[in-house]
Amino acid sequence: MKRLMMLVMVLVTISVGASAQKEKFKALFIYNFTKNVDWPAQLKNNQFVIGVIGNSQMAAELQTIALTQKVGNLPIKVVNSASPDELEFCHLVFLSSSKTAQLPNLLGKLSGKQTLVITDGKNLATKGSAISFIQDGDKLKFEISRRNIEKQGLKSSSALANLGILVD
Amino acid sequence: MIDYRNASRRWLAGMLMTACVAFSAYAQDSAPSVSQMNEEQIHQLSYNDLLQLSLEDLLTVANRFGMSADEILEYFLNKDIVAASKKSEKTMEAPMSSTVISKEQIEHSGATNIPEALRLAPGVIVREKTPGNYDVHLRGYDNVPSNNIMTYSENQLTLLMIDNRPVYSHTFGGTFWEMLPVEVSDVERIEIVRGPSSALYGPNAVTGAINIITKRATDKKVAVNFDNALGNNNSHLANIATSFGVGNKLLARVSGNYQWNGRFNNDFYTFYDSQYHTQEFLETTLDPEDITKRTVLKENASAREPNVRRAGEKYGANVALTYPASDKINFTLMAGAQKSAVLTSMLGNRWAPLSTRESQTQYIDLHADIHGFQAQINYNTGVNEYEKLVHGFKCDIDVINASLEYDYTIHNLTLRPGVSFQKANYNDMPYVNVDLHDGYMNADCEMSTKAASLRADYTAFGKWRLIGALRWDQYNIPDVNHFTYQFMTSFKINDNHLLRASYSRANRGPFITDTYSNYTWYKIPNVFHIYYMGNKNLKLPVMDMMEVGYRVKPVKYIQADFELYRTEMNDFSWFTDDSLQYTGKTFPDPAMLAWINYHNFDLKVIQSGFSANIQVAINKNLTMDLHGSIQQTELKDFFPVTTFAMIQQLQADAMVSPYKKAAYTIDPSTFVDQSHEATPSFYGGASINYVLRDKWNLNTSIYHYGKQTFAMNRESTVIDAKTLVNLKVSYNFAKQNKVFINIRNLLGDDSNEFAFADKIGTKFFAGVQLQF
Repeated sequence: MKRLMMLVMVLVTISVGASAQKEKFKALFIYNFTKNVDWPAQLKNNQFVIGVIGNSQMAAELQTIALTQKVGNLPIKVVNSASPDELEFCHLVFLSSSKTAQLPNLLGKLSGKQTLVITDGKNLATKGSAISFIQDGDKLKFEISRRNIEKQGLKSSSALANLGILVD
Repeated sequence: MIDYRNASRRWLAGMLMTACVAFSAYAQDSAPSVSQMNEEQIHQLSYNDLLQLSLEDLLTVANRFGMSADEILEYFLNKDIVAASKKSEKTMEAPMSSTVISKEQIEHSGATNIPEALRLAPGVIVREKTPGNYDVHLRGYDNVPSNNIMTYSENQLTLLMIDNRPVYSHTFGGTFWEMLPVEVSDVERIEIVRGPSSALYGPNAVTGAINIITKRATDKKVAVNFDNALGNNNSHLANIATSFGVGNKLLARVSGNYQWNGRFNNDFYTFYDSQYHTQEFLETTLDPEDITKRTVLKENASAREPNVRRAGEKYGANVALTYPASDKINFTLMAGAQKSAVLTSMLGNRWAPLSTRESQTQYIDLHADIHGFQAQINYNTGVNEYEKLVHGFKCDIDVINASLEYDYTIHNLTLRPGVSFQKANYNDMPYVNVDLHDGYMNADCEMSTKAASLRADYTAFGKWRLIGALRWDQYNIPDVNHFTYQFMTSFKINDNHLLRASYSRANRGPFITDTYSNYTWYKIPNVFHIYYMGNKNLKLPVMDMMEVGYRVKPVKYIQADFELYRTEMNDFSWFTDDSLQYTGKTFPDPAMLAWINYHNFDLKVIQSGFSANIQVAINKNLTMDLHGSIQQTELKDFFPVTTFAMIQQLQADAMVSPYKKAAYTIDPSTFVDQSHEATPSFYGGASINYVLRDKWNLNTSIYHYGKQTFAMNRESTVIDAKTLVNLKVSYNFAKQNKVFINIRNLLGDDSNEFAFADKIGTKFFAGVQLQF
């Protein structure tokens, strides 16, 4: 019995260092989208700014990605905000589903500012966002509007259009 | 002396291993894309790997494996189960006591075969009779009735299925685990439902049902999996599988498995002096009951069972073809074969309780899902020799099962009407002398069942679920109809708390020996003959259960399941010595005749128990599981006399009036109420799995059962409590290619786990697992 207890204790001790995994796939996708969109050269200055509205967990997860990853050669800065007013200088803005009502206001603020707007909900790419996550049963999909991407002065890869649900 | 068979097998295994390592090293040159990976490979991608994926690959991962890390935890804790209500749902929501064992759990645990893997689930008592050969009981009811022959130690009350195909043996009732054509490497998951559930699955799901779901090809890319382990006592386990696509839609998986398990003993237990002796002793020592002194304790054993070091050997091969014709039409065709030999407890009543059982069977199984209709038809055929040592226990088997069910949903109500048919033929005529009645049946015997069933599942207010299942079975023999039912309800307090309750009734089906026995045992040829006669009018044993359960997720990485149950079973049947006569005749006519018949008994068995299962997934690298069952089994109106004492009484009575048949009268005043000690009052297990730096996998598991007393007609024996600790460590040396060591029973307690059977000591395995 003593040997048994020792064995269990050794294995439990090994495991103490492990921490809970909290990242979400949506954050992985947002990071992945940055590899599939091209921002104008003048915006490639000292950092790549991602703004998040209404989802502090998403901001925290993007922050975790920012610790180890870059967009191109630029380090990532994550700005967690409650309103669109603070996010005028972002390369990318994620608007959480609970703040969808703020989309028209956000688009107004970001008009012509080369910002990729990502939303979370159905039919939002037809309402002005560039990319919008949708949940189809168990599957995570995304709508994409090439017109809205171009309207913001950005270019997207063909992979993005091919793999998403094109709305225009 | 060199065992050339073993030596050549080891050379072959070594060459195969070398070839595979070389091939896999070559295969490593090109890294597979995510679409080429199987679920396990995806599962093992690190976070950093996910960040580097292309968008296409990330989508593939999201769609094949769920979208979030929370869902990864959900995958470990809250697996999908179909068996619990015949509808795919999460284990957290399942209305019955049920557990899913995943392929990952099996692989990490190091379980070397399917019965051993069942130790990972609560409510399952697993004892190893001889290495690699197991006795499995759900919640007990083992050794009922006691004081009889070893046959009654077999579990006749649990329905085992492979992909919903019943593999229950209708000869003696029960499951012969070595005859399964599939092995752990073929298993996608094992679903275990505890408690009476014949309304959902049909006869024999009395203490529960176990459904082994096998792997299928999931994409068209050619993939090969191979694993090979060598162990002490010359044990050898090998599995190979390949999956690929044919044409536009057809997907195929072809697999093969081989096992050779060596013994820890050279000797065998004998009732002659309650000691273990060598084969030589058993072949030379005379039977003390044989007044002619012409037979020995284990006659011709070395000719019939030549290798005393072999506990078992089996080969299996399987093919699974899936053809998704459209979204609404899907066909799966499976076929396979197995050949096996195992040293196991004898069904009958000989001096040495172990004998070899051999089997060779084939099956074909077709599933069709067509616009909500689910049809399944399968055919299993082959030859089984239940006791190699004794003439008369070999027969041809032919079993056909067919079923048709339909899912109909209106709002919150799902109805599932169904019909099914089963026909089982067992024919021993090609192997026996019918005139002498030296086979157990001496005939082609048929058992058939026609059934209709209806399951209704209604959810009110999104929280309260009501399920009713009814089934009506009509048997050919006994000519009776049985109506079984299951009522379940669950209330989902919120996503983290679920209360449930169920009430159900199930019955065991009839089987060949108790119905059709027509056997003359020439116990002492031309001196003492015993006639075994079946009974076509036996009532079928029935179990009723009341159960309440509670499932809780106190935090997102813990899921706990508690169940409290009470079962009551009656209408048991077994054989007893009925009458005996001294004939007064002389050689060659027998001087003594005895008659043994099958009867129902008034015995009632009542069991109360509590099981708990706590699963913890701290993250994908660290998972733990703890389960245990406490239970008490009581016998009411139990007839406590051994069949040996009965025959001795009959011999004494027959002496009083020679030439007249003396009959044994069972006196109800001798019935007693007593505690049933053959089922341990506590059993359970625990396991911890830890993934270190994506390369190492460490798994330790514990299984424990309490003390038991096994009583049969010759003697009773105490099986001491035993704790088994297992450890498997694997190292991922390249992609999904691993080397591993696997130690079973690390503490080295080599006591026997099953009455009068083999010592089970520490098993060591070392091996490789390759994918390319």
